[in-house]
Amino acid sequence: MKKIILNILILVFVFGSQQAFSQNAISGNVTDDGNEGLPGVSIIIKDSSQGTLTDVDGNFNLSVPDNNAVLVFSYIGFESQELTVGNQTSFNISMRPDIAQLEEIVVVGYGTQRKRDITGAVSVVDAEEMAKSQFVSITDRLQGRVAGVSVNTTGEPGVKGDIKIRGTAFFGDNNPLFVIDGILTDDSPNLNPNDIESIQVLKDASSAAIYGSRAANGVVVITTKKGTSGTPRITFSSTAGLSSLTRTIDVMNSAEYARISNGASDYSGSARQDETDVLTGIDTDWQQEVFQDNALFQDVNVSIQAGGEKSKVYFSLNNTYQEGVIKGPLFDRVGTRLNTEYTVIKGLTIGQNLTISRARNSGEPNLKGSGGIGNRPVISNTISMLPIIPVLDPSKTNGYGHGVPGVATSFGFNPIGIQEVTRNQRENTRVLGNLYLDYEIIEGLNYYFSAGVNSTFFHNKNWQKGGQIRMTTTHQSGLTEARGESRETFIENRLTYRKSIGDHRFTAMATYTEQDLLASSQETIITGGFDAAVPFFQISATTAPPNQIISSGFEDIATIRSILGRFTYSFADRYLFTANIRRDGNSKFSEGNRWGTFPSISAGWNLTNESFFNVAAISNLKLRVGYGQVGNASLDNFRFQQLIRTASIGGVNYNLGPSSTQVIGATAGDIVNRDIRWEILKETNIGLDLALFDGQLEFIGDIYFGKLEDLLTEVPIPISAGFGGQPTVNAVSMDRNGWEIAMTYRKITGDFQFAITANAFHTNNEVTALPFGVNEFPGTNSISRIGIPLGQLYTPIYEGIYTQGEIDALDPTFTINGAPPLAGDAKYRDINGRDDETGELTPGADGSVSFDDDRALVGNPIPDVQYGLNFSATYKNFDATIFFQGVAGRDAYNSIYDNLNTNLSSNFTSNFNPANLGGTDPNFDAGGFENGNMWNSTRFIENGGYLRLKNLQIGYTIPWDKVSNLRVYVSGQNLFTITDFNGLDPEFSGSVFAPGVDPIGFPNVRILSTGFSLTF
Amino acid sequence: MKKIYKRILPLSMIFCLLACADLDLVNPNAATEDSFWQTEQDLYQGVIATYDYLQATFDEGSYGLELRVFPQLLSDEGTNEAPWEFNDLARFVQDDLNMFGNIYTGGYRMIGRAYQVIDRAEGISGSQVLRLVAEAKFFVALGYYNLLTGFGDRIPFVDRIQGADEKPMPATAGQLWAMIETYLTDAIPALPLASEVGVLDYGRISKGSAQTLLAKIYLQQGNYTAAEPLLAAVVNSGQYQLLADFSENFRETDQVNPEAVFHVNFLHNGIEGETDNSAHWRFNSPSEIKGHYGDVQSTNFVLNSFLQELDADGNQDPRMDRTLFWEGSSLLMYGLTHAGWISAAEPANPDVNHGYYKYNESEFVGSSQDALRSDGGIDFLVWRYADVLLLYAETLNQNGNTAAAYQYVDEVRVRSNMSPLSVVAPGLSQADFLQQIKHERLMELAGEGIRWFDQKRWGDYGPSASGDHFIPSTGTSVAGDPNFNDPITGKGFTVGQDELFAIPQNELDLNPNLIQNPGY
Repeated sequence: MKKIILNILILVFVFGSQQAFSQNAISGNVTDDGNEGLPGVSIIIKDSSQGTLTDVDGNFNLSVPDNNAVLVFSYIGFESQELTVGNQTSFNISMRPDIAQLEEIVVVGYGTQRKRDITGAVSVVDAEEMAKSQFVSITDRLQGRVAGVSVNTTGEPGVKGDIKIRGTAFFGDNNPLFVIDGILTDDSPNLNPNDIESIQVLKDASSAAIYGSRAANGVVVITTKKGTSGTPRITFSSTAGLSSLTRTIDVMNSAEYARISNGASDYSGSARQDETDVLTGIDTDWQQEVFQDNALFQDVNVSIQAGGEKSKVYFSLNNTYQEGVIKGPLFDRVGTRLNTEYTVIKGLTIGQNLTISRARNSGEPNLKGSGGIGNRPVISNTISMLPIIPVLDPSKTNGYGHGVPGVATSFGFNPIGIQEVTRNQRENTRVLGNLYLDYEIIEGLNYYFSAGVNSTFFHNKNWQKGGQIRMTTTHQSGLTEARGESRETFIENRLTYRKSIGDHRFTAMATYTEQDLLASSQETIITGGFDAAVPFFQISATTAPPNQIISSGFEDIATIRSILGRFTYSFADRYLFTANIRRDGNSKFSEGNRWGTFPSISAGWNLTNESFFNVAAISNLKLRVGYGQVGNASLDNFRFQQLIRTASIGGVNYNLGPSSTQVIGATAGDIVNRDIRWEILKETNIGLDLALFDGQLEFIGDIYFGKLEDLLTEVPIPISAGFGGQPTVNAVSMDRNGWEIAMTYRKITGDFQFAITANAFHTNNEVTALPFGVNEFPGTNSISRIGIPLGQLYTPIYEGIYTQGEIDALDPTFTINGAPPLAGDAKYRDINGRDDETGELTPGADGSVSFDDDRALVGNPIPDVQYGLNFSATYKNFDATIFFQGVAGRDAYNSIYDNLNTNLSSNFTSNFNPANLGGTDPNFDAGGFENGNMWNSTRFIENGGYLRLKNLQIGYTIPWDKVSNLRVYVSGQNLFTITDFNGLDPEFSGSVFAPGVDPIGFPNVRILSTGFSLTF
Repeated sequence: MKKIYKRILPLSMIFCLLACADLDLVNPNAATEDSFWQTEQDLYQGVIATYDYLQATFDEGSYGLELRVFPQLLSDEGTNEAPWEFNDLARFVQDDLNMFGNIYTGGYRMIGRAYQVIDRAEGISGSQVLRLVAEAKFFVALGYYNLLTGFGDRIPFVDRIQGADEKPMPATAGQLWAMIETYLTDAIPALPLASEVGVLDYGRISKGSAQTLLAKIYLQQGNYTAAEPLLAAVVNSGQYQLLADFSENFRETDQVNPEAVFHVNFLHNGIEGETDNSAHWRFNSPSEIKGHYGDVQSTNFVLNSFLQELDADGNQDPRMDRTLFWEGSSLLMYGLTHAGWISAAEPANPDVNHGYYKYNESEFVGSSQDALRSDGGIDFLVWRYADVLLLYAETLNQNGNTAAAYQYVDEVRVRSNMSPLSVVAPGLSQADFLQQIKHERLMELAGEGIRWFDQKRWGDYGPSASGDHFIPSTGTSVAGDPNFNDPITGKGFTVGQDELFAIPQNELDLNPNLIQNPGY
């Protein structure tokens, strides 16, 4: 026992070396079927963790305990081979391609399955290709890789993209569950994607059901890298590049702006702005001033993989640094990982996975408190700011140019001013890891125990100097500082039993697991009192009494307890059957609704293994069908409890006595629905796996039909209830269905080898029930109604501008927005009359166009198809990867053009005022909004499809015998985009109820980089 | 087999060692509705929360703003001459059927908070419980009194704590009036006299507050008989008296005001983030300058009514400059003369002529400072003793006892150096006495939001309000508020509709049991 403890200590602290246990030395060479040496082949001594890898020429050396040792040779893409050592000391092994990779082991949650036994919709991500991506988060690197998984990335440093598996399901949160080495969590920019060994995506309800109540958005199962037996591998890799915006918006210069502004003023008879009437020579290109095209990107990784007979260790160190294409935003991650495993005695393994990382982010300002400037996005202010305003203007209070009423009317914040007077920094320290034990009690029966922790410590700070960077608005100095931590702990106990009797194979698994959350945070908000000359902003550094000080604290606790099990059965590898069940109890719900049961069953039929099946070209043909129920609960803890509202500040207090002394009151807070329950997805999946020509061509297709029931949404309550708030109610139902196709073609022999992988998918939904009394949910320029998909674009239909001839031909009583249109005014289709007594619009033109009454369903933001296409090839020492991603058949609302062209106090993209200026866009109404020319309409709806070269990488492996591998490469990300969309980025991610409306976020950026990786 | 047991046994130990996490967690941030209401102190805090609603502003409309601005604007004492959103409202044009949503919300919020006390008091014992429940019942009655006057009888019938999914039926005619009469009848015996409330509790409901409310509820239904004993009880209680100086009522004195029958405490410069201040003064200004909104101005009808009668010394009614801020005003408002306000208005608005001086905050805001915060600190007297005296006089008159009514009018007039009515107009008929009372109430209470209730209960809430108003004591007539009848522009009072507010459209959307008021 002492020895074991000692060995564990050595294992953990010294990375135990394999030489200590070696006895007999053997060596050999591994080749492929073309007699080329195969590097990186894993050679493991069976029933041990001892082994090695072949070097660049396919050679290996290994020590074996005795002659009875069985060597297992395995390499992805080749069939595994087993060989008893016997008296041989030298081995020449030829590996046979196994293109179908049928023996591949897939992690399916709480255990593994052979890929050939899978009966649900489980996608295995090509981790090697994914590793070529320059994105810093796992989520972003999944983009375009998996049929059914859509990711919208952004160029904002350290901000992960928006990911949806099989489309929108829930209104609260559509992030899938991430399971990292068995720990249930979310993705985070803190995690280093270079640590990933494999990723599987559990897409359908039948396979995700093992994660029960947290699985309805799909599950991403990640296994991080482990140590390898044999010669230690030390890999050092580094990439550095520069990023820039892919496009800018073509706005007017001063002369063009003045022409339109003056024309609009003259036309309406109002006074011209002073600085457009007489141009002062100022012509600011704000985008040029703000966007920088040499933002640094840097990624450095060091990893060590080592191992011996009983121990394996993986260690990594990562630093990722990314600047934004605007000044300010920044991401800086330092991450480490240590994964170790130790075989104590035969059948008993213990190990740990641990990552500790710190991510620093600088972002855009978001200063709370009265008098602060709040969240003022630099990018949208940059685009809309007038060219007639200078960046710096000594005549202004703080020296920053800004609007002046009637002179240069702009409500924009000077974007350079925002960057210079505000700072925002966030720091997250993350600890994620587990300790585990795996014990084979009797043959086939394993007990697995794991205890894990997932902690985040954060410290956010925002501050700003006081002053003025906007027309008629002075802002105060201020500081917001928040700190907190969140700690989740997990315990898992699992029993797995495997048994084969003849052609019958069974596995049974039962698990008890529980999870506790404890989080707390504190925040202080101070406005006023800071002196801009004092170079540090600390809570204590005010030099005058602050205007406001708010200090608050919050704690969160939650518990989840689960029992779950899986049973699989297969007969002769022909008939496959899997059943999962999970029962989750969650403190989020009231006692009666706390527990939910999530079952699934699925079956598969391997036709190729039937005796009657005899098609030479088809090497694998499997039909799969599955049904499952999974849950979701994207809502805060304790939402079922009506809380008592009582506080000394902002509470329900009264003042008594003639001099008004405060007395603290208490009353029930916002009204709640005590009966909230799990949201449920019930889904049927039918799939087909097909491999042709010895697996060179593989095809996986799935179709699915799902019903989302009891979706949680907030609904307004009658005012007569006497409470504020909107209770969360399980009230919406939706159908969701779609299809997914993934295809791979590989040529892996000869000098020129290549692989083409492609995927395409489509997800649709339809709202089938909404809460009592509500028949539609509005969103920005969008609507969700029973019978149609969520968030359809909904605006008046723009039909160009009126000519004088058309005006003359109009019925004189015809009005738009209550007034008869004039030549040059916008023309909209008259669709409906007014509301009837039941509140429904009466159909048919009524000679009067109004914004509320004449909107129609004018666009579908759900893409017809989303796709990814990856081509990778090697020729001798060269390798190349070309990766495209795209979306087709989708309508998008160009919010930037809308914002720019529907008010006079921003710059424009359009050509206005036909009456006076010969343009093609509606006349500007300088006097107000009386004629509807400024309406949001189909004028701003564009084809939102795009095809984007996401990644291009060309590498060269330098043959150098001092190292096992040295590769250099150049890489480009987002090199070009083909799209008709005129906004900054067609790859925007809209909100749930307005998915087709560009929220004007941070656009994707182009990164050009070079790098190398070196393995010893 | 034995071997297996030996191996499994230690495993079962591991299972047992794990403490099973509890799913029944106690919220670490706040007490819950189920755990809170246990003691008399909890009920007291619940009552305080109901008082808190008196101060509410904006979308939670109460005496912090809406219950002062809207009744003024929609009666013949207030108008809006600036070309902004309240201009139409003062002329009975409502484009938005949610226009009165804030008042509606405020009423039901007050009622909702009060029912938490009433319903949760079951099973809680203590010496103060009866009083606390009585206070809560007063608030239910006050909330409904305001709602019924504004929205009519067909508002949702709510008589307990509401759940998230309740869609109450509209009350039947008189149903809620009857209910709140019962509530107040129950509450009055449990409430202390004003003198028993204690200085530190100044602001809490007294017996007189509840008696006055019940009397007002009867009067709003035209029931003078039932109102008389209640008003008599207040007048004869010896608990209240008129201040020597009328204008002291509208200042922050930090003194107990014996004229306050029911008032709302406000605090200037209180804790930031607390709703302990009023926005009233910011909305009541002659024009929109210096951060004031100029949303409510006084009508010419009020101005001209003041000019009809001089005081006992032959001077202008001393209440006039303390009530109105007008061309002839001798006082400054925020450091500016009336002419200063007009010239400072940009763009110059010739229609803006006079506003209410009552409850202005010049003493806090000072002259040079702009009104950047809605931080009014002057306590708002919802009902003053002068109001009660005049109501009592009116009630005696209507009940056929005109002679006995004179003394109470005189008391109010003499305080402000006006000759006693018994001297200037003795022996008025019942009808003329009522007409005189209407004038007296306007002179005493203009700008306090009382007029709207008065017009409604007198049946004067309609086009007739734009006609001439006869004053028996002077024998003169004053032209009424033209906003009530403006056929030229198509604006003005619509008979059959504007007697009642529109029930908010979003409420009708959410509760299909309700029906909109006529005309909307």
